[in-house]
Amino acid sequence: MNEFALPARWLLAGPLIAVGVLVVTALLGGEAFSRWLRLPRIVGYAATGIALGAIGIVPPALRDELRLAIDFCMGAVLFELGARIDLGWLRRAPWLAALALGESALAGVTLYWVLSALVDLPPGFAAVGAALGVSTSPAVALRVAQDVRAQGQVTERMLMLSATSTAVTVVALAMLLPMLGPAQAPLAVSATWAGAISVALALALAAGLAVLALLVFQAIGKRREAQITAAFGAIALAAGLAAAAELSIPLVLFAFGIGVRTIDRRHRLMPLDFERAGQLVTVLLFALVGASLELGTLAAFGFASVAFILALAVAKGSAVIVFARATRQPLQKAALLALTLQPMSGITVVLAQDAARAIPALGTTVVPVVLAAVIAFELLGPLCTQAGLRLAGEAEPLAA
Amino acid sequence: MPLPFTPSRPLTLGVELELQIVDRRTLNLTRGASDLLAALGKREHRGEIKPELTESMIEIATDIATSTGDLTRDLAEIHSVLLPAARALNLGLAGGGAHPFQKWRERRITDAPRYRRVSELYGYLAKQFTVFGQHVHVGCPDGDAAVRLTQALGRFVPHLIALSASSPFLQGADTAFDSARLNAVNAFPLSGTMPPLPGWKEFEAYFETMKSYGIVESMKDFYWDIRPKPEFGTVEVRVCDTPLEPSWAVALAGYVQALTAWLLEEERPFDALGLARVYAYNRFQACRFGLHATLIDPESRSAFDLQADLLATLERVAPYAEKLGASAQLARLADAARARRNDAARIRDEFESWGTFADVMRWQCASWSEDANTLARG
Repeated sequence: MNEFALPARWLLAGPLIAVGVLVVTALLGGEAFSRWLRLPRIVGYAATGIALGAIGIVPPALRDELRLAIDFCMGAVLFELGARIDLGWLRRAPWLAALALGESALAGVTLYWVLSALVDLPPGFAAVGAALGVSTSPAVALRVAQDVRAQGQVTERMLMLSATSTAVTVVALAMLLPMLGPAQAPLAVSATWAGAISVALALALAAGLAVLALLVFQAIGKRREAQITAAFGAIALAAGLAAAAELSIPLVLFAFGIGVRTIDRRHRLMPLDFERAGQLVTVLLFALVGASLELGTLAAFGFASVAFILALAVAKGSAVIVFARATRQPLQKAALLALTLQPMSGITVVLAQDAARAIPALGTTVVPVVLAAVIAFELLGPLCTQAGLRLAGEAEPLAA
Repeated sequence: MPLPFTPSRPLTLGVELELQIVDRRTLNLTRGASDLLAALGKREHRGEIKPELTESMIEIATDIATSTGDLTRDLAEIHSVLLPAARALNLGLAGGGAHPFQKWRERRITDAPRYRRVSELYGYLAKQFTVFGQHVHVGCPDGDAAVRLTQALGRFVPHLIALSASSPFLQGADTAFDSARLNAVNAFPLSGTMPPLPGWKEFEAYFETMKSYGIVESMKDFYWDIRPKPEFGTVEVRVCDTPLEPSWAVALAGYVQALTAWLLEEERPFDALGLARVYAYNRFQACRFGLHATLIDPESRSAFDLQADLLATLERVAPYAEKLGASAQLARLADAARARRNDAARIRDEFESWGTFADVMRWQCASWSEDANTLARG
């Protein structure tokens, strides 16, 4: 810890002090970015978090304790996005399903090629890096869309593609990590099967939770605030159970959100837009994740990270543009949609850190490349998203 | 001539319907018209699909029709294009005169010079005007007939309001009205009725005067309940809420057509001044109480029951409807009148059974598309 650190003994006295300082400062940072720079608040949260992390507000000893809060916030974001997604839309609009598949596949394959051929990583590690990169940040997509009150096809498709790409990332990592790591298969089977089994178990847990949650929602009745409160309880429970069972927390929470919406045939669930509560979750997530980044990773920012960022932009952009006609979207709107899909964010950081924890070798190879790219994306990505939504005419007009 | 009236074939029909565009998840109104129009592209179909004042509204219009059968065919064809496009964009389309829980300040004005001008001039009234109506055009042989018909149809406006009323809820509350939509129209300075004028020459002079004041630029600036439309050669009836089902819109148009046939043929003398005195009151009664309204007769100075008057009028125009091939439509209206059951009553019942406005809107979307698909199957 460096000499300029804030009174470290206070902070070590409990994670709540660090959390409190982070939340309030990040919120003020977000307001400052929004008011004076006209930038998305979320950029301010992330920048403040990174800055506070750099001056040592989160002593390494506290990182594991803060992980609890990060897991909960990440779970809340993934649950909210999952519960927002209408799988029926993919069925009614098969070309959109094709776009979702094409976009994730193209991004994954391109990143894999960049990491294995250009950066020269072993295939397994390149696969992890590619999987991490596929996801368009759900937190940025949800929060920027709500922040500017965006409505329209670019917004809806951005959210859908963020969900589908995040699903690919989460499932791919849940499959890959057990295969790459030292065999710690839960049911003592071969490592190859371990991934599939852990994914299946996570989905089963999510399905069970979804059924349970719907019973609770039915008992509560159609009162939105009460349903949202219940949802937060369910999110904590789901994250806790996933952690206890050593299953992927993001996978369980995301599948839980999708499940609860999909099996709700009798419309017992109100639209669970967290909005106000979501702001707290977002501030926490971005500030905590920002503070937990070790700026040492920035040193890894170089050819590999730049190649990673460019490959991702090209892959996502070309997929959306190639599918524009089939998806009945004017070319200009498709280009703006591609712009909104750029951000990676906190969730990728968490997943990357998890990957590094599971397989330490990843932490010295592919993870720093991804994290350095994420830092760039955390600050620039929300700008792309906001600009895309504004230029598409889907954001609420600014007051004259 | 400053404002020539283009004659048209008498009793031809045209229907315009403003539809609600909703998000299928939240069931709230959403910004969808421009995306929907872009997705439709240049697909060929009968009639027209057009933007309206705010982005949550879309207007469909039939071609010129000679019968209710033609209207049905046009509406079926328009929906065969419109509904799949909406489904592909995950948007819901619904009838109903007003959305039950949308907040007017969240509405977006459509990006077009005319709408921007309206929004600048009228301020919040423009966004408040995100209400959904049915307009019926009926062909007139000449301007004098159009002026006479515009006034004579005024007597039957309460019938049309009561039969079409489908806007009981506004901004998340029961308004106690069957048609709250028409109250949104009342706020505009040029709403109400055409002044009592004897013929087209006088109408032209009136229009010129209003134009010379700088109050109006075109006929579009009059928000009257019924107005002559000289460029089409029609009289346009604008009091109906968009019903919950397109086939009901056809039935209402059938009633307007039969009424017109009767009024043009029998040329009854009517007391324009007396009618003007009671007009606003009778209109309010129909908006508020629907098929339970009590109206005032200016001649006898007595109150009468809207329902009985409507049933008697339906009977009176039945021979005309038969000639025009609209008997089945009028019979359907009579059934509803006898049961005193309009769309507003059905909407209230649905709310009673579901308990949330979102569920009511989901039902409204389903009602609209199911009925439209039935039209297509004939």
